[in-house]
Amino acid sequence: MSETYRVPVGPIHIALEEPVYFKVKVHGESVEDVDILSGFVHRGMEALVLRRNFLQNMIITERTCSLCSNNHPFTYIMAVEKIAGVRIPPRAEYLRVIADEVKRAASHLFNVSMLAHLVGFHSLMTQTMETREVLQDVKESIWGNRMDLGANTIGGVKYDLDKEQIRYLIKQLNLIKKPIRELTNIYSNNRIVRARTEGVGLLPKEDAVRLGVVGPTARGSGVNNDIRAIYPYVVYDKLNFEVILEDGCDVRARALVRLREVFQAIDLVEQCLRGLPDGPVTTPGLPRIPEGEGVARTEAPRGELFFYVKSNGTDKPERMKWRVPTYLNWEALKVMMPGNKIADISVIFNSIDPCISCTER
Amino acid sequence: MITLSASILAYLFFPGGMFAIIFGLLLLGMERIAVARFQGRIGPPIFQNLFDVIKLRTKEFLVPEDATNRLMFIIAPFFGFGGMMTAIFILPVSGVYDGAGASSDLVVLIYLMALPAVSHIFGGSSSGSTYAAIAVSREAILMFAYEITFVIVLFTVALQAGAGDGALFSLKGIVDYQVRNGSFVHDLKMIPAFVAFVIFMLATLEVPPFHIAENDGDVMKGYYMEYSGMPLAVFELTHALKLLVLITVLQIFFMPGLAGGSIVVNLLWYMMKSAAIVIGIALVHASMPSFRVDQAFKFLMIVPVFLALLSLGLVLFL
Repeated sequence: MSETYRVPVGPIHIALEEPVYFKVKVHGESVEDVDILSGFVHRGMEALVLRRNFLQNMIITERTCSLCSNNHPFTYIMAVEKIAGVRIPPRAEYLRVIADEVKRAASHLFNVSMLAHLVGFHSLMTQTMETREVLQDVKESIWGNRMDLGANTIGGVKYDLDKEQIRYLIKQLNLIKKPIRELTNIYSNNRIVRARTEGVGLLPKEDAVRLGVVGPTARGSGVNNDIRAIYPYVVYDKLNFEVILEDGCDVRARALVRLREVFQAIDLVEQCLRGLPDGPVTTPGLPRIPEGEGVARTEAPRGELFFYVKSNGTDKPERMKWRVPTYLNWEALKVMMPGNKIADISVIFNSIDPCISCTER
Repeated sequence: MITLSASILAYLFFPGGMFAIIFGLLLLGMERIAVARFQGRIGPPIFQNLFDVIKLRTKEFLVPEDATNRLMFIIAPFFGFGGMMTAIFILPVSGVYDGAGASSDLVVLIYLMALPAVSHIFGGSSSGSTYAAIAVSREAILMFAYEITFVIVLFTVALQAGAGDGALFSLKGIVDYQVRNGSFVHDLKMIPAFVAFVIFMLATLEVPPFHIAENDGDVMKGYYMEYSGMPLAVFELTHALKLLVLITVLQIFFMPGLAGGSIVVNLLWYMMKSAAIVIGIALVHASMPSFRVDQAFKFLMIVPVFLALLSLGLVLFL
């Protein structure tokens, strides 16, 4: 087959598990060009939030997406707190990081397990999911939910850790260290996994910078844009960590960044637990949100998450805008995909850790 | 007259026909359960594939409007099914059944083994689906690569069974030779051919690392994409029979040893060996990711072909 033809991938393609439509122009088995169509699950959230008050919006932002469900309210609340001029208690700052890093570890493990699924390594996928299940148990035992933690509130956090919970958390985190080390070894050294991921979906560093790619997608190309390190928020400036960079620029590099960040997340949680100060977890009472504008950015599992909130003195925001990492990352697909094989389309798409429900709020 | 009706019985009921279909479907179910257990899942019930076939029988069969060749689309599944039914009919089961008895049935086997892939290619290319077209081109590429291995292994076995007296192209003769002189799997010269044949088996069965032509990740169901109802069930039956045929051929070529004098004992021994081979396949299935089609082609053209040629050389010159 030598002529050029179009292959539809999505919006209900079984490999993508996300409602997005790729019109892939294919020559033989090679991808020549890709056209991305989206907007299938638009929910009008940015209009919805204007009809609800600041407290209700905490709930609705959490429902933007399940995998980074902690980061949306977290960032939104940071923006609102900036408007209201609230300083949260130090213990709450640590607790926010703990919730965020546990979510990050679970999200990254989910993504790499999907990679294993897409290269046809179902045993590795189930093993990774099994490891992630420990983190799901942690979330359910401490926050009461497997996905939506509901950890943050305006002025602090909604939960507290007692001694027993801390002991449980440390025990469970130690439990998954060994399996993750083994999994990392398989992801980086198994010959067929390497053959399927190495040199696939190349995103050169200059393209990553030009397209403003964020998160592990950029760090896999050696671009340091970890908001936790560049513009530290809550207590990240007091914690000791190094930004993880890989220079492979391919799917493998991005997967390795994610796997190493799982270790980093575990380490950060442990650091937070060691340095956890005493005190209240929230400021007393609910603040009145004055007129003003606030901006906050955090490092979500998929990259930089940005929130803009404008209030006019009432209990409802006047305008809210959030920019999610996938929106920046999927432009890079047009650089990554051409030249690869049809079998790589879903592998490459998965490597930017797409979250369509975030992007089409 | 008696031999003719015995042949009809053998074709329709035992060891071909009903027995082969049900045993093949059970082996498929077993493979699924074994893979599930290796992956830490529970897996479907062992009769799941049988249930699937029974359910599909009640479903409507749809021919896509833009099918390029409607007739071919409808009859394509039956090529492979017929081929596999015939293959299981001519294959001997050591100590149980002597096969159809033709003296050169090994050559017939080469043609019959290719039929399921041919029916995939016909069915997929006449369905008018883009995914099926991609799957068909992959299947054709892979078929080209793995059939080479099969033919070389086959000649190696035939030469070895001929014992310096030219090649022996009778399946029954190969079985008898091994029953007299020990199975080829114990013969160091034949070990590379054995490994090559196992790789060939995995590639024809489209088990990882060769789960390519119908890889869910990019072409969804591949050539099955537009099929529904009875023809889809026929494809499933063909797959079950193909598994059984391959396992039987493996046993004929390399391990046709007998367990005793009685037919029942030998039949049970055959079924146990088949189950063990299926578990082995499941182990490979569970422990490997899939190649891409270009990588698989390269692998299949080098490793199994080299192993098969090595055995052939050893058999010829030692």
